[in-house]
Amino acid sequence: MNPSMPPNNKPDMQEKQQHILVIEDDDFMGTLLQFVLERQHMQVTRVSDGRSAQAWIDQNPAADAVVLDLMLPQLSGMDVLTHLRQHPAWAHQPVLVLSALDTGGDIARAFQAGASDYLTKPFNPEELMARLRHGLTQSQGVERAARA
Amino acid sequence: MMAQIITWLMVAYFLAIHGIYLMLSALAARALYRNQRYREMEELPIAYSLLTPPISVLVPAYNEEMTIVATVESLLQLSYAEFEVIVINDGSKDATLSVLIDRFGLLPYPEAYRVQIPTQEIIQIYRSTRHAHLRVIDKRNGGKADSLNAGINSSRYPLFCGVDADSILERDSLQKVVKPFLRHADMVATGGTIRAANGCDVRGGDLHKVDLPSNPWALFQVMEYLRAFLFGRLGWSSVNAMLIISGAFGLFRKQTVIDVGGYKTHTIGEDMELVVRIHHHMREQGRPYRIEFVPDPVCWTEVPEDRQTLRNQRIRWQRGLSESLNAHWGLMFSRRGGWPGWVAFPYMVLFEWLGPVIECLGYFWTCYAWWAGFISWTAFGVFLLVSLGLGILLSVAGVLLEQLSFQMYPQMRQMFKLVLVAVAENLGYRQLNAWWRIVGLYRWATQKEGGWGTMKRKGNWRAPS
Amino acid sequence: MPHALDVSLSLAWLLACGTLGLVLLLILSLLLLRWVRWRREPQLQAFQARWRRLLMRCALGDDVQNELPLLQSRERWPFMKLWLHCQMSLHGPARDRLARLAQTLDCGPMALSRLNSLYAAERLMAILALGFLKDASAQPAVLEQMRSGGSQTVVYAARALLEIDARAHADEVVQTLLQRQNLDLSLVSVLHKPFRAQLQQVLLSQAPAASSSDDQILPWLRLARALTLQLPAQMLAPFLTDQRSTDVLIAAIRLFQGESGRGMVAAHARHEDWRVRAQVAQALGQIGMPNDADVLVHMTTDLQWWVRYRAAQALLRIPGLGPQRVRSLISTTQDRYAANMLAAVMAEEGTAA
Repeated sequence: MNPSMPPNNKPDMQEKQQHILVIEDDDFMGTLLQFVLERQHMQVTRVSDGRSAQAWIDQNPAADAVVLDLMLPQLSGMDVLTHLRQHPAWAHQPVLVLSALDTGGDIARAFQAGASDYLTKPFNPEELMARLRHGLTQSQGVERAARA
Repeated sequence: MMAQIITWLMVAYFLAIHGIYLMLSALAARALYRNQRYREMEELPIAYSLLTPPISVLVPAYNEEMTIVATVESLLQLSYAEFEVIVINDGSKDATLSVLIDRFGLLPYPEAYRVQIPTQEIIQIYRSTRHAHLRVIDKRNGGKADSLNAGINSSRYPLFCGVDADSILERDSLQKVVKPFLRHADMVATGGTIRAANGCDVRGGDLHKVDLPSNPWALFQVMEYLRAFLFGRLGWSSVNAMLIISGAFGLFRKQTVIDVGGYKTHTIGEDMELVVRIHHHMREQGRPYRIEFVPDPVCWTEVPEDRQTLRNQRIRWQRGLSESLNAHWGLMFSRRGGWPGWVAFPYMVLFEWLGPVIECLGYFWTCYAWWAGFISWTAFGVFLLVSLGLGILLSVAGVLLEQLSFQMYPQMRQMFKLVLVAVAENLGYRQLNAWWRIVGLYRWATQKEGGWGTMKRKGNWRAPS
Repeated sequence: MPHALDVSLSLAWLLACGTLGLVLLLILSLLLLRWVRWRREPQLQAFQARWRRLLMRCALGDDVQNELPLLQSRERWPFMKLWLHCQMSLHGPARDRLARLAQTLDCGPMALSRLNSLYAAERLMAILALGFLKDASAQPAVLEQMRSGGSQTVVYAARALLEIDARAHADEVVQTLLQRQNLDLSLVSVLHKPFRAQLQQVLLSQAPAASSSDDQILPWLRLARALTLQLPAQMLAPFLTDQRSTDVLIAAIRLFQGESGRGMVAAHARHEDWRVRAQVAQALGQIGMPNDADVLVHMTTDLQWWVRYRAAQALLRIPGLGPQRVRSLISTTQDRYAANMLAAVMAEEGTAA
C-alpha cells in the first residue's frame, strides 16, 4: 500500500500555521521542498545561501523548524547551524538536515553541531514530513514544559 | 612590378592570418557546441561536488593593500567541496600583510615547509584562526613567478590554481575549470575565459551585474578578449595546442609543474613560458598529456582604461611572448612536436611575434605605394578588404558566437554596442596595437628595461563588503 | 599598370560585396537569434512552471491524469529533463508514481530513440530515463549500452539496469564494473548509492581467493571501497602479504576498519614505497592504539613529507596518548623534521577548533 500525501485541507483550528525556514541553494530542490511543505498547510520562507540565512536568523523572530542543506554557497550549512544554535530563541527548534553527504562522519558532525535529525538526498517526501512533524511535536512539548 | 609583388605578399599575409582565424573559429564553434551539451548534464542533481579533487588556490600579492581583503574574501566564498587559499605576500612595501593579519586573524604557523622549487627566503607563514583553510606566506620579494613557486611548495593538494590578486572569480569557477580533469586522467592544465570587469557592478569582490564599459579603450579590449579567448584559445585547445594560459586564472597539476621546474623567475611572461615549457617537456619525453581551455567565463579583471597603461601592458606582453618563444625553439618542428610544435608554435612566431612587423609594414607600404601610383585602386582596395574587412567580419562573428553561447551581454543595446565596437576596433585600434607590439619586440631585442608602470588602480570600485 | 591586375577589378568588387554581405548576414543572424530567444524564453518559463507543479503533485499522490496538457513534440525532451530531475531528487513511492505518469505520456520510445543521439549528454540522460521508466522491454537496449559503451556510459547504463530489475542484473553489473578499465569509481559511488546493499552482497560473493593475482584483486578492492563495503580484518589479510603490489597494498589498507588486525597494517610501516607508508600512517590514525605509538614515532622521521604528516596526525588521534606524551615521544627521536611536523600539525588541529 503506497501511502500518498493528500493536501491537508482542514488545518486544525487550534494550531497556528507552522512556519518553516528552508535553507537550500538548488532552485529545483528548494521549490520541491516549498511545495511539499505548503501542501501540508505550512508557511515557508526560502533562503538560498549561507550568508542570507545568517542574516535572516539575526533579523527575524524564530521560525518553528528549519530544513537545512549542508552544501551552501557563501557560508556552509554547518556554520549556519552553529550560528543558529547560539541564539537563545532557536534553542529548541527542530533542525532537519537534508544533505547529499552521507558518511558516518558527516552525520555525526551535524548532530554535534546541533541538528535534531538528518535525511539524505534523494529524499522521500512522506518520510520528511513524518520526521518534521515528530520534531515539531517534540519541541512544542519541550516548550510547553519549559513554560509550565 | 616589384611593388605589386610586395603588395600581393602583404595581401597573402592578411589572407593567411584571417584564414587561420577562420579555421580556429570553426574549431571553437564545434567545441562550444559540445560544451553546451555537457552543461545540460550538469543540471542533474548528481552532486558532482562530491567527486572533485581538492585544489590549492595561490594568490601572489605585491602592494595590494587596497584590494587584497576583498579578493581573499571572495575566494573564501568559492563554491567548491575542498580547497585551500594561500596568499603569498611578495615583500610588499605597503600594509598588505598587516591588513591581512588584522582582517583574518592570522597567527604565525610553524608550517613544515617543503622546498620542492627554490625560492627567495620565506620570512614567516601564517594561518587564519577564522578560516581554517587560509594561509599567508610572507617572503622576500622575488616576483610573481617566485611567489607562485613558494605557494606550490606550501600547497597540500594535487592541483593548484594560480590567481591574480585583482581577479574576480565566479562562485563556481573552480568547479568549471576542474571539469576537464575529471574527464581525462592525463589532463595537466586548464585555463578559463578572462573577461573585462570594467563597467560591471562589483561589490565586495562579488560580481553582481555584468555590463559593458563606457570607456572606449576598455570597450576595444572587451572585443579583443572575446576574440582572443573564444576563437584563439578555444580553437587551439581543441587540438591540444594551446600555448598560453593566462596568469589571471589557470589550474595546473602540481606534480607536472614541479617536474618541469616550476615557474621561471626573471621572466616577464611567466604564465606563457610555463605552458610552452610543459608542451616542450612532455612532447620530448613522449608522455601523454592534455591542456584544455574551458570556454565558460570564470575570471573577471580590470583592464587598463588609459592609453599609457595599455601601451605599457602590450609592450610587456610582447616582450613576454618573445622570451617564451626564445626559450623553446626546440619545440618548433621537433620530431615529436605534434600540433603544438608544427602548427601552434610556428603560428605564434609568424603571426603573433613577427606579425606586427609585417602588418605595419603592410599598411605603410600599401598606402605609400598607392599614393605614389605604384599600385592600382583595385589592388589597394583588395588590400583594405583583406586587412580591415575580414577583420571586421571575424569580430562580428565573435559577437555572434558569444551570443550563441554565454550571452553575458543579453540586452539589445549591448549587442549593438558590441557590433559597433567590432567594426571600429579594426579601424585604428588593431593597428595601434600592432605598433605597440613592434616597440615591445624592439625593446626585447635590445634588452632595454622599460618601465613596468603601475596601473592606476581605481580602488573604490571594489570596496570590501 | 599591367592589365593583369586590372582584371581583378571585378574580382575585387565581388570580394568587397561578399565580405559586406557576410557581415550583414551575421548581424541579421544576431537579430534573428535575439528574436527567437525573446519568443522562446517566456514559453519555456511557462512550460517549466506548469509541468513542474504537475510533476510534484503527481509525485505526492495527486491524480493529475485528467489535467495533463498536450505535450508538443518540441516539448518532449525538456519534459524528459524535468522529469529526470524530479526522479533524481526523490525516492520512495514518489518515484513509482512519476514513472507511471511518464509511461502514460509515451516517453519510452522517445528515450530509446535518443540512445543514438550525437550528443553524449543526451545519450546518458536517455539511458537514465529508460532506467527510471522501469520498462522491462528496454532492457536489451540498455544492456547493449553497458556492454559496449564508453566509461561514463557503462556506469549510467548499470544504474539504469539496476533500476529496472536489481536482482536480475546485479551480478552482471558487478562483473562489468570489475572488468572495465578507467572507470571513474567516484561516479560509481555516487550513482549506484541506492543499490549499494545489493551490489555489496554480490561483490562479497565474488571475493577473490588468496591465490588470485594482483590484477584480479585490485579492481575488487577498489570497487569495495567505492561501494563502502565493510570488510573484516581476516578477509583482508591475504591481500596484505609482502608479495602484493603497491597498489593492492594501498587499496587493502584503505579498507581497514576496527582495531583487530592492525598489526597486519603496521607491518608495512617500512615499505619501500612512500605511498604505502603514508597510507599505513593514515590508517593507524583511525584504528591505532597506544602500543602502535612507537611505529608512528619512527614514521615521523621518514624522508617523505606526507608520511611524516600522516604519522604526526595519527599520533594525535590515538586514544589515550595526549599531546604532551606525543611531544615527549617525538623529542626522543632528536629529529628536527619530526619536531617541526608535530608543531605544524598541532597548530593545525589547535586553530581548527
